[in-house]
Amino acid sequence: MKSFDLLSNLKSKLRITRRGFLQGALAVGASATIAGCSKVDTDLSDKEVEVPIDAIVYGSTGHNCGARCITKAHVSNGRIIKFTTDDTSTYTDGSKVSADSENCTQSRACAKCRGYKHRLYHPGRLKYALKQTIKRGDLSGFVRVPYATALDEVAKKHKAITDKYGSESFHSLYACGTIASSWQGGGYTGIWTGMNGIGGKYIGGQLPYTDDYSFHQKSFFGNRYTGYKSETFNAPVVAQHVKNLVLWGSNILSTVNEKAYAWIRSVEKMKERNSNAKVYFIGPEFVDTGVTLADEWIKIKPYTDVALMMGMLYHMIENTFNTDGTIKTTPMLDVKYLDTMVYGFFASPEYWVHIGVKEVKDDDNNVTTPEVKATGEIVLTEPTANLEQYNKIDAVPVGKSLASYIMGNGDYVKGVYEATGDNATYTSAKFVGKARGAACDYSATAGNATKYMYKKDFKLPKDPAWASAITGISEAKIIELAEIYAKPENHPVASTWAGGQTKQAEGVITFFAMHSMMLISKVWGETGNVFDRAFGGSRKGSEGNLPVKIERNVPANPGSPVIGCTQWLSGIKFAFGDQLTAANGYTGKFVPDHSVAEVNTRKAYYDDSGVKSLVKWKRDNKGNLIVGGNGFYEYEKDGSSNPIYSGVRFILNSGGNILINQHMNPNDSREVFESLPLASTNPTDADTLCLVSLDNFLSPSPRWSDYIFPATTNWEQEDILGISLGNSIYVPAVSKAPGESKAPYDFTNELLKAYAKIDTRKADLSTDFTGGVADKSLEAHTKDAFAVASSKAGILQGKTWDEYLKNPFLPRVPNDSIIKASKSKLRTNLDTYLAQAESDRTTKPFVKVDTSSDSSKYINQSVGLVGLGNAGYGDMGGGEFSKPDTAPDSPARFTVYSPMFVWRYENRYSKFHGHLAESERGMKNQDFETDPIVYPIPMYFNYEDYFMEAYGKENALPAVGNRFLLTTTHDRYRVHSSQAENPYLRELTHRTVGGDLYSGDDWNEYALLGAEPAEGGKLSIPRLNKAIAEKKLNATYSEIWMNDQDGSDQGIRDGDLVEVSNAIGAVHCVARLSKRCVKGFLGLHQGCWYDPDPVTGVDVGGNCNTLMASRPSRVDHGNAQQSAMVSIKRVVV
Amino acid sequence: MRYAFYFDQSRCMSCNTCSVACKDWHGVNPGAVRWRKVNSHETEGGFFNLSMSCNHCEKPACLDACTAGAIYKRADGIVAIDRSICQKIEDCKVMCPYDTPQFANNKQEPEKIIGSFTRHPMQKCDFCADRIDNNESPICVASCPAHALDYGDYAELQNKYPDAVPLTQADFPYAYKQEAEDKTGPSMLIKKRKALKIT
Repeated sequence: MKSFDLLSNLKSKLRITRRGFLQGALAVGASATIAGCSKVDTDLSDKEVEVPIDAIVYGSTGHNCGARCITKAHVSNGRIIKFTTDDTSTYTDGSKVSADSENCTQSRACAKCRGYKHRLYHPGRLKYALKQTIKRGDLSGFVRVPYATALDEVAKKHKAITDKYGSESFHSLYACGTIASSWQGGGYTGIWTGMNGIGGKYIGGQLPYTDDYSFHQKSFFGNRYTGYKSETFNAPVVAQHVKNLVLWGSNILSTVNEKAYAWIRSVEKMKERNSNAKVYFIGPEFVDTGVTLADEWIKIKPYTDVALMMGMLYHMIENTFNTDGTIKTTPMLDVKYLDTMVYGFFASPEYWVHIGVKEVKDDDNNVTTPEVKATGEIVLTEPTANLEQYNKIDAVPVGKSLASYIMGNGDYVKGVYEATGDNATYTSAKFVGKARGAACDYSATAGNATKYMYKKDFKLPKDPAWASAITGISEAKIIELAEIYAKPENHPVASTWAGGQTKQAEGVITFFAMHSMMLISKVWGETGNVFDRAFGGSRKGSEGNLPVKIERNVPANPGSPVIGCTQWLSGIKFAFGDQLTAANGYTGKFVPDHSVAEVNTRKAYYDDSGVKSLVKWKRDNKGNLIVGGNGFYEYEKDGSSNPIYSGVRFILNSGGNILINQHMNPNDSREVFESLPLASTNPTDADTLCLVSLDNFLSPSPRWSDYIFPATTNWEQEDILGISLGNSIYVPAVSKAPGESKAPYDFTNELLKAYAKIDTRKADLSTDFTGGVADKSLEAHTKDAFAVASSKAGILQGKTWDEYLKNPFLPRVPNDSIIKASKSKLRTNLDTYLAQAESDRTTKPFVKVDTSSDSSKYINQSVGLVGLGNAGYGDMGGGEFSKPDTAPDSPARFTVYSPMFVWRYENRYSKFHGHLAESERGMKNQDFETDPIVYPIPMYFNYEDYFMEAYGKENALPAVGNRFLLTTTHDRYRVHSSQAENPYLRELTHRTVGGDLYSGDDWNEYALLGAEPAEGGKLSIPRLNKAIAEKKLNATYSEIWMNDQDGSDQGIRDGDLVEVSNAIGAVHCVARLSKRCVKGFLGLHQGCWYDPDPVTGVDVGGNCNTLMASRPSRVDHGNAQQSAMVSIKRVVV
Repeated sequence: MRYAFYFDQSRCMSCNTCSVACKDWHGVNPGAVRWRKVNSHETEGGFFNLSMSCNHCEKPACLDACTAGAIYKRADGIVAIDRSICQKIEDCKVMCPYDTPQFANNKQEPEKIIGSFTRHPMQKCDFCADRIDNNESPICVASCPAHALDYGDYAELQNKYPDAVPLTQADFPYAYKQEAEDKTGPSMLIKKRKALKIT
């Protein structure tokens, strides 16, 4: 009997009968009543009463929505009519699925996937390749062109640009619209990251980036500066051990659907186990996660978490030391531990610590360097022998330690601090007579005239009263929180950070402070004393994965600098700075802290995060960078001996909206794009910017692109998707994609063919891409893998392809075992060491001896390890520093004062800076007053300082009486900004002016395309929001959340149309007044599409990023897109 | 048999999966009509989520109010409507304490149902009678990622969830459109969320 081929049957739906479906697969007998029908869904309108269900197909989504859940598409005649979700009742081990377990793996999809029908069959889906012919962003300038013609032109343009400016001029842009499937090329560069950059490598290479838009600050900071590392943090740990759960702004229930139930059920069990167990939520907006889980909401002003932590630490220090530096009888902090393990809490002299030497073997396994075990010995003068066995530890100058900063010039811990008796340790004995505690010695160069608020506070005690004034939290509550962390009887205390903190201007500092607080209060190394973003259930391994493998011979990417992921726009300015003039339409007015003159002269913005490295590099025949005699990489020069400035000149944007919408300050991006000549005028011209987008809709980024290619989305493209709570499943295409839409896999295949026409060296690439067989489909590769899996022992053994397709999903079996309370090895060893008799403790250094892994044989090398060349830093294996030997050594212990933090900042990318004057090399660690930007300790930087800089030194901040802090938590109904067009979801966050919740009624007047022209014809595309453009009463606006009392004070009522603005931009929204916001706060959730009014420029789409300054975050130069200070006013309509 | 919903207010995260799944399953177009509504209510005691559709009352006020005889109660307790004979008098909407009956406009319901008396007859939750009759749970219950919804016979639900309380105006004033006497016997049991401390 011929096997049933669901995919091909669905693709050829007109040639099969319904009976064919019923015989072949998945037939059920249900029917449903249609209560309404759609003009759009014409197929549905024919079936008003009875809709037979022909097939139910398992699938998921590829979007970067935080989870990968199961949806089942009910397909009728090649069209999806509705969705259901996972209803698995039995696990593979025979046990029953039970929601009693916090580890339950039934994979129920959220509203985003349940509403997907109106995305698939949206009338605004792109159907044909388009080319901009007037000016980027001009809705009247798009011409329909044959797909192949557009591909040919794009390939020619790419070749022309990269031939002249090198592969570093091509940037496959950060884009996470389709992230999940590596088989379709998903990943953070949308199309090719998941294939290990394959597409870019095939066509000559690309400029890579580091870090990410979601967690830039966290990704940059990692755990290597401080050495803090969380123990296992999962739902069973919460259920079985945690006593206090502190949510620092967490919104996981909205953003990570697959973990939501694990949180809910584990918190229930935590409270069933211990009636005193408690969940705190600290944040300015009481998000859904707080509403569901919290026992207490601690209201805090935005951006002030570090001040709160400093106030908490002050309380701990105050209750540990007397003013003369002696230690209280019952100290709150463990001083022995602090002296032994925490570098930089107090001042310390320069010293050397013996760390030993690792054994080194040659290729024949002969030992060339014998191991020398660490002794941990500390000496205060440079050793005269075996210096290589020692780390040199920088002094922590008196008055510069974290404790000194916290205590200011207060009364505590001044002068010589000496631990004696029960508190004495080897370390303290070594430092006898050295000043440890002192008043804060940080100061402002400008003295009292400084414009920076944070500098004015250097000498102030960062006590609870100080913290209370900044945060809005009462002193008593700050003290209560401090004691939750500092007192072991309140442990285990589990803490979660939020994505919001890691997109703020001071996000890196927030993480530095959080780590420091956990380390100082000793909340580490024990079950339940944990700190992370999101915990989930505990499960056993997944079963039923297909061993799909596509054999390819992918060339390596040429050696290249790796820029910060947010730096691409600066890269464009670096390339085309001389053209970004007022005459060409670039005013620069949306970036008040970077003048047009600086843009014109290639002065890198905020000096920089890799942009100065974007010249054309010389490479050897293997593509490696060449180091010149001066120690810098060699670069190509033009006829005048100037460097060839590559910058960023060609961007491929796949399923992403970073180009305009999701990067800060779309007004500035738009100005840049509109000021530069179009790419399409001459495809062989190497000197024009070229922006290419592959997308489903004419969202803002495609709108401002030169070329647009229509793309398929899930359900229209075959794929292999890894389900969060189960296995990877093959998902067939079950719905026909509109027009000429192609999957990323097919787009890449076709692009490589287009490339072969213009570059004979690349003739075989498309065949190599599809696995050595021309045009071999992903389905064919999957079937190959299935044939292997079904013929071998395992859960798929003996199954047919049809049987597999009927239900490919296998949820992982929960791991419901009991977790015994335990300590990490480091904590065990440390506690054992500290419990020794004074005579041993003060004479023997602490060495963490542990033979379980090589690195941990040496003194504390598993913590506080801050060396170069570690991928954890996102650096090029150390290859970006011109003088790596000047880097500070690892202090080999936890670190709350980090010389490396400063050194790395000042030396980043320096090896690429041979083309610059010496004073321009590295990154300048200097603010407008010549004080440092980056200090070695976590300080509280007042948010006003960032806004003062970002909005221009001379510009006034919003008036005090109408000054609001705005953040942009992720909305659960948008996948960042994808699905912003989906009417089922849009109506949940948009309202008419004066309307109530769910009052939206403009669902087929949004994100439309005009009438379809013939090939070569122009589109006439309406405004993104047609109803707003036509001033219709049913037009809806995004909600902005506002404190109800603030609304009253500003004369704003619930449902009013409001304008929110600052020096960067202005948006229109509808006010949602709520007690769920602290006073002075506005919440405009992430992901609405930028829709500037053609006359006023006001973004009526309500994109929060329109209000976000270009100025990046401190230290990491990431996206500070959770940071805005704005005014709000009612708009009379 | 008296079919009823159970709602765990301490679990609901107001994600609207239930309401979107409901619209999708029943083919309700985008627009103001939604058979199940989710809201987060603000009171002195904190913030309280509520996901509610028709409560399929023991003594439905809508049924009593419907002079067209379009509303009926099935033997299993489900309050259903024959849309073809609804005359859009809207007394059902007026009398329902929960504002459950809804009427679409031309945009949301662009085409008249063949044979119906009025262009936009009343619509509301039918407890997924199609699914119930097929031994499946209501789509909202089956969809809830938080496992906050359940359904079954009222008495059996009371036994299964001893912490749950009946829907009353005293405990859940925000579920009602206005102050009214509890006399319809809603088939809805709720596990209440505890009060929130705000500091």
